[in-house]
Amino acid sequence: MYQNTSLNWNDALLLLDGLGTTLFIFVVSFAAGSAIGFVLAIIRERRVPVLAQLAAAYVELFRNSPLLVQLFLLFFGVPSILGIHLTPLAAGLITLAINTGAFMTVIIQAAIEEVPRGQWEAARAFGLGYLATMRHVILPQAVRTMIPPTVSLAVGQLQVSSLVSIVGVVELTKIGTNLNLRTLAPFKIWPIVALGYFIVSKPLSMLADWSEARLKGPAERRGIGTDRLT
Amino acid sequence: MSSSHQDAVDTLLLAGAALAAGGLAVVAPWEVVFAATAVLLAAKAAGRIGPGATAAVALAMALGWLRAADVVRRHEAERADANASMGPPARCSGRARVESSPVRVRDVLRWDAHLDKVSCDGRPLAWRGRATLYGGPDDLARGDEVDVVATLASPQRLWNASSGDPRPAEALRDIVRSGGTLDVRTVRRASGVLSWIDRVRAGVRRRIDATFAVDVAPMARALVLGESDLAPDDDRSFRASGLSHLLAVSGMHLVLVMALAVQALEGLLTRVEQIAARVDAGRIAAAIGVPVAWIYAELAGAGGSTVRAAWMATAALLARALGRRTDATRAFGLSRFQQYRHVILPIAFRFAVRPLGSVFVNLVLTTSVLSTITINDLMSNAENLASETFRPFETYLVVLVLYWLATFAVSAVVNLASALWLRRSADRVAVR
Repeated sequence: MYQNTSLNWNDALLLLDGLGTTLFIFVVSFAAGSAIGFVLAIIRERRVPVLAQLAAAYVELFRNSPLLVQLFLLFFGVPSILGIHLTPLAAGLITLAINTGAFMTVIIQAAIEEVPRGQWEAARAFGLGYLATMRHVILPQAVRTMIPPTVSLAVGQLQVSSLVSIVGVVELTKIGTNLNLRTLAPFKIWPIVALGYFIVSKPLSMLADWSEARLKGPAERRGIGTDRLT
Repeated sequence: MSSSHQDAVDTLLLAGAALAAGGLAVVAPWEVVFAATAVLLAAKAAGRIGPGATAAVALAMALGWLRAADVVRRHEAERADANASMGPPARCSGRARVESSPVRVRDVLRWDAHLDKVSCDGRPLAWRGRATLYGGPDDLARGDEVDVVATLASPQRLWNASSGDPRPAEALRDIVRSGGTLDVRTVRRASGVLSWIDRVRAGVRRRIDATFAVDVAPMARALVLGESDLAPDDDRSFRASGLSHLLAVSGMHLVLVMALAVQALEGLLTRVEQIAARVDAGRIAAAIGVPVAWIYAELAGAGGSTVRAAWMATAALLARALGRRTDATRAFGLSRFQQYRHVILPIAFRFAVRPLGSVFVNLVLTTSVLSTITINDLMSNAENLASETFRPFETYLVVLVLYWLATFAVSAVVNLASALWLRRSADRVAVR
């Protein structure tokens, strides 16, 4: 039998593997969530009948309920009525994507609405269509306002992705749980796991600071239009 | 035992005030002792001063009294010494160093000098000391050394029942001789800030005399240089109308001018990108304001109230320059704790109340995670129910809506509370 109760180098590889899975879940679900958010934000911005109201209900419901409940609903509930089988990984990915999508909808919509109305009118006056206006005029400006809330959402989503370990996805937290059961050394395992999340989320927020500074217009970078420093 | 809810007055501050007040006892011993006793008793009754502080105050007052009495006594001795060595008014020559900013009174210059190497009527004296002299070249300045020939006499002493004891005031001025000069020859011109200021004053005086008519020039000098030697008629009218104070360059003049100057400088510096982007322009302006306040005070004649205002402006501007907020709450004597309780937290909470609300709502959602470490909450009951009924979809859908309702209720309460708070605190604090 396997009786080794102390940590060894294999465990380090296991944890790294788990970190890789966590990253994979995070990146895929966040990308999918952003796509959902983008589409819904445009639907809500254009006030498409019915669809806009449905999007509002979706946003309201998924922003104001726990991720764990959403996960259980999807992993246990949906297969039971649809008669399909969902792997833990698929359930985790979909739940996180849907959850992220609800938050991203709000962020993107707010950022688009932040762009002054005159920008729309000017673009229209130049003969740009809706999509061209969006792509060349509105989004480049909206991205600036989007970045800070998006990054704090990303950091948050990276951390709540640990919840998918509950339905059996073998990622960083799940491997931490397993190692903890084997070694009975929680004070060694959990700080290491926490460090794993930290080394991903810290560069993320640093990236946010950097990109925020870079995306500022040249005028703002020169100090014009900044608040008085008193 | 001092009560904890009220703050003890700072002992050091109290002792300093007592040291200064003790000096007054030379002039009015009974009044000072009576007032000090009354203040101490009142402070003691309010529980704001302990026995140690009382002792420190009494000691400091006694020290101040003794020191003032000693100064008066020494001045009297000097005066007696000067009278003994010089006797009746005599024509004397000597080396003088200008020690006060020369002031024009009527048509002559008045200045204080430290006299040395004095010889009177051809007889050299060992005496040296301070004298007030009248007359001399227009551009005299502090620090100048001059050869002087003057008629020196003991300054007149006006002492009757209604004037009170003049000795303390004389000791304060520290003058033992006075007289008009017959000849003043500059030996060495001083260089330095003070002498520069005096020469600027002399220049301004010259320009005023050249610009204004004879009858209005004194008024202009009063307004600009603080020299209040008005023509007798004008003086009488100003006194009669109670407006004499307008003529003196007072503390309020200084504070108004400094506030305007510092604000203007700050406004100017803020418009220079290279400065405004790097540092707090207000601090630079305040730092520059401190020496400017003193230079202005000196230029305006350095009257008592001007100097006091310059000290106050120095304290306020230094606080700003050092990056400390000049603090209204401290000025009102609030303790650190009271500041937080009554001023800082109410303002800070106005900014914090909305983010705090959303954190609070989020916390309601996060509690569901507790079910994984077997805490019996809504979520863990839902798990049990789902496994008993084999109806996970319906169960979790209901739970989803329940959580949504919970956050809805919580955020409604949070919004209401914050709206109430903001409205209530809007009456009490003004947010910059």
